[in-house]
Amino acid sequence: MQRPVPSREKRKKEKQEDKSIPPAPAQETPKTVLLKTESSPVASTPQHEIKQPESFPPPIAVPPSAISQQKSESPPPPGPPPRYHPQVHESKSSSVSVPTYHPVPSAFHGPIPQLRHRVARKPAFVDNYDLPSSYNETNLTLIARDPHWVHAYWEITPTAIEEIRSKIGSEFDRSTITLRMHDVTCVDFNGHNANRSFDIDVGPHAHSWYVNLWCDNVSYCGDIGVRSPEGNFYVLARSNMIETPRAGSSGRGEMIWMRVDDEEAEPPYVLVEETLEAKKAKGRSVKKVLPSFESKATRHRIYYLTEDDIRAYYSRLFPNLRRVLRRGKGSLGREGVDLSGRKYRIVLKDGEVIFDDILLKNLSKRQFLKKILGGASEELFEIGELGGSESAAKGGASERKELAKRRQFFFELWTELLVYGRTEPDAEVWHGNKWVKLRDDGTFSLRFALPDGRIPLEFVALSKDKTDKRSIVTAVERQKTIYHP
Amino acid sequence: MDYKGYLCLVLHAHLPYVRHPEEEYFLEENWLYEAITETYIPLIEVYDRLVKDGVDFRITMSLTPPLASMLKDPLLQERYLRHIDKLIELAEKEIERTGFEPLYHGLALMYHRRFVEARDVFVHKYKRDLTTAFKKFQNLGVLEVAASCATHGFLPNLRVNESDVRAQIFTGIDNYRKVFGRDPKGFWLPECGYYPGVDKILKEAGIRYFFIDSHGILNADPVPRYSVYAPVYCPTGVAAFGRDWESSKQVWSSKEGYPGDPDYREYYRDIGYELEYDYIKPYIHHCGFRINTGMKYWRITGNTEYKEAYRPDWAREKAATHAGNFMFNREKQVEHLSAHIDRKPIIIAPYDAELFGHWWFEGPMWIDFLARKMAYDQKTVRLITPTEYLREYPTNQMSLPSASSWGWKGYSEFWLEGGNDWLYPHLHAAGRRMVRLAEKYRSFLKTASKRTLIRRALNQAARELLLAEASDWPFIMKTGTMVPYAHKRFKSHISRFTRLYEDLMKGQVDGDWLREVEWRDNIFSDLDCVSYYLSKTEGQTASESKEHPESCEKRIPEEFMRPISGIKAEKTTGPRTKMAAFHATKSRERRKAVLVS
Repeated sequence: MQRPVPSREKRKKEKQEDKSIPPAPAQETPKTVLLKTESSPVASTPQHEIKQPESFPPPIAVPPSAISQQKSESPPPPGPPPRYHPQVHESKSSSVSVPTYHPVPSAFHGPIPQLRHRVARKPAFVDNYDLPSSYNETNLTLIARDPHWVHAYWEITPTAIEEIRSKIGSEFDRSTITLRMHDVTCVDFNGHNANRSFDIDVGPHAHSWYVNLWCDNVSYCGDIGVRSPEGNFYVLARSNMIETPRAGSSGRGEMIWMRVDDEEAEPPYVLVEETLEAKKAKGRSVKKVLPSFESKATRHRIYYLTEDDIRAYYSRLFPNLRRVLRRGKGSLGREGVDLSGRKYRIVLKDGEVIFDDILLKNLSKRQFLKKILGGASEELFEIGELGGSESAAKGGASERKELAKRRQFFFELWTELLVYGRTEPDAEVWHGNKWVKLRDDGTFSLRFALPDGRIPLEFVALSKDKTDKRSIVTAVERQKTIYHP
Repeated sequence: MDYKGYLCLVLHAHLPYVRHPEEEYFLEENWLYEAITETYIPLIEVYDRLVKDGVDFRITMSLTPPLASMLKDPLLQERYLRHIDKLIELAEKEIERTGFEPLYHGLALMYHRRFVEARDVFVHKYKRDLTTAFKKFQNLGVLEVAASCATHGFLPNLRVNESDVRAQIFTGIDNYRKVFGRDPKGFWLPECGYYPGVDKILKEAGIRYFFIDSHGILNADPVPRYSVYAPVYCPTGVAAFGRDWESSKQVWSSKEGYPGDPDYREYYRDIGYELEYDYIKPYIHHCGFRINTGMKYWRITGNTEYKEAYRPDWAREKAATHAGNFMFNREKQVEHLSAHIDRKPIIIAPYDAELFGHWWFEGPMWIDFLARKMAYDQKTVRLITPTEYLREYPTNQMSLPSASSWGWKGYSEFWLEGGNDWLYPHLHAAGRRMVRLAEKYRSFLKTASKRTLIRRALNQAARELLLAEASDWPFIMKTGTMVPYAHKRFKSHISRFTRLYEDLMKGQVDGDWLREVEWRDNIFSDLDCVSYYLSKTEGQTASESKEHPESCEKRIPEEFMRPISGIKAEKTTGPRTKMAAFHATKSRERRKAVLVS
């Protein structure tokens, strides 16, 4: 569309008449804004684009008819829908008379003709492409990118830094900004009970980080803070809680069904069949799920599950669904119903959980290391996640439940075992059938998780020429932990 | 008739909201015009022909709110007319120019006819509003349109603030009600981005099902027995349909897929780039740089620079062959599957609608052939919509799908990497600020009329936030084309939001500036956008109150609330009765709503 010259001239005149509001800086404002575009790594790219509209010969926003309307008050002409005209019209006239956009410059009458010319042509609307450089909140946010990566970004305000500096004094100068990541899978996190944590020294200039995890399907929570060389950690902000996606298929094969119609929805249910053998074997009423659907014969009974059951079922995986467990109200292991498949059965006996051997055999070595040794304290839940039954969660959770009940005051105890020794630097040391790596000076040390039970320790040292052999056999036993309420 | 299985064809139609009233011509607006000419109108024509011929077919589509809003926008409608008139003029010139080149002359005639037809469909048949076409087919029962998020926000990255996710979903659904005059059954999660928990909000909004990528189902917990060939219910009762990778690859893949066939039209050779500059100048960008015009005379030919003339009859034959091949493969697949599972499998084949027609010129033709062949040439597979499938199989396994997306690598990486992660601090902070605003003005919002300055400013702030949340901006930044535009859009929305926020916190809003911004970003101007950011009761956070299905009544705009009078869902204890009451209320509303309209 061609813009008729007269109308432009008219507008120019209007503006010049209105001496109190010289329009020149309207051009300047966006420019200065451009220059201080924030230091984001990508900020350089858009600068070209921002200028682009200016370089287009006619940046016309108003059909000529709308401008002529300004003077003549005639009814809107036919053609383009009328709803746009009044708005344009008003914004045009107003923008000339609103001083907010056009602060009075000292040198309006100075010789900058080309600027004045361009201002007259430019739509007076001033857009700002400057993003807020800070939101003045100390915070940390995590986003799960994929099963093994988490994106963290944070902002620390100067006041927060000052506060912490005044609190810890000179210790601050020796400290570093640290991102502490807590694995809170299946934990009702209170700041101290993470399964494990690790620190990343992020330095004072970073504002975001991609964190690599070695387990999928876990929950994480992060802290940003300062850590002194002595190991003191002062939290500045705690993040949101995230769950990373699962990277492979779930190990659980329970068949839970559900019927949802347009008009009504039934709660989920399982089909259960009683088997006498199971009763005999375990000495208690255990029922099995038969995963075939079409054989819904008379022998099968439908057990409807409540919302609480479902929550309990998933509780091990999604801590924010665990409200039920915390309340200590019902769980899926309702009397007589056991949702486990036959393969992985965990038996509940006198409130204590005993694993079937099968379960550990089914874990590959890598998984075992990852889930059990790496997981240190919470292995029970991790195993459950690989295909345990609900009763395991119930049993396992019972301790936790009690802890959770008294959340104001908590008390936990975990144990670890450190074994270390020394021999000739060129000798070989074996623990059972595992080779132990020696340091250069012939010392070695091993670290074990120490759960309840007995851990046999059998070490054999073999001299370099294979003639001398020494053996040390001992064992460490941790007594059954007793929790007094 | 006894079919062994079902095929569900899903076309996801989406374009970012690009509307620039402040510029006479705007290059990025061409995305819409090209898609209208090449995809939406050809698809509508295909549906029209199938309906006219009495072919029994079913297609599922999603028409995202930004796209629906653009199709309904008078300014863009006007500009589309200008665009198509220009194209017709170009085609007329081309007919003359190619008079002595029979191959190209035929093509010029073809394009001319297509453009004239498109104009006719646009102006006369559907009175400029193409959403009415999709509404018509939905009412005829051959098409099912699923709702989608307000501005195609990628939910797994927005979930940091639940209020943002809720606003995206509820705004999208209310927009759907306005456009299609009914409650949506299905929901298209943008980019298939699912995370456990989003189904809760969908349930609250009355949604029955959504789509998810294959690995979301395969990695679900517990393992779904039927893999992706039957839906699973999330624990909330919303069904998740998993995408079938076999059928996807056949169409999507640029190498093995159908669209790469040598006989098909080449997308990357356009006369906008090929013809003499002075001749083509009036039809390319008004600043003088060359752009696609939509007239392309060459076929893919092979992996060479040299391209031969396009032969429409050959391409048509190929499209028919490929439709036959696709159907044959689905038959075999269904036969194989039905031997292994004890119910009729459903194959979910979702595609971007713009693939058909825009990228793959023969795509709509292929759909036409496929629908006809499936109706008449075989008795194994039948086209179906998810709602019909759920009606046939209301009982499904319950399982919790795994977080996933259909993007590169299957998770969030495409929308969260070095080039675009700087967006999120701003998005999340703006989301928090929006809630703060809504809370600050809570009591005011209860009473104030729609046109008060403050309310308008609040609504505009919500609108700016929604527009900034579109997944298109990080997507464009990752793909690397038109990046400056995405930067500009994101920054302008965030800075407009920030200014509104600061003004509202101070309690002084500049009316003239606001009017200008309202005029520029006018999406959802008929919705009360700020209300989606209000938590239900004072002092209660959104997360605490999300478990009561009745409370979703609050989200429904007034005209949908009107019908229920005196009938209240009975409060009962059992989950079953509670659900039933909830659904009954919903359906009553729906029936009444239809009567009213």
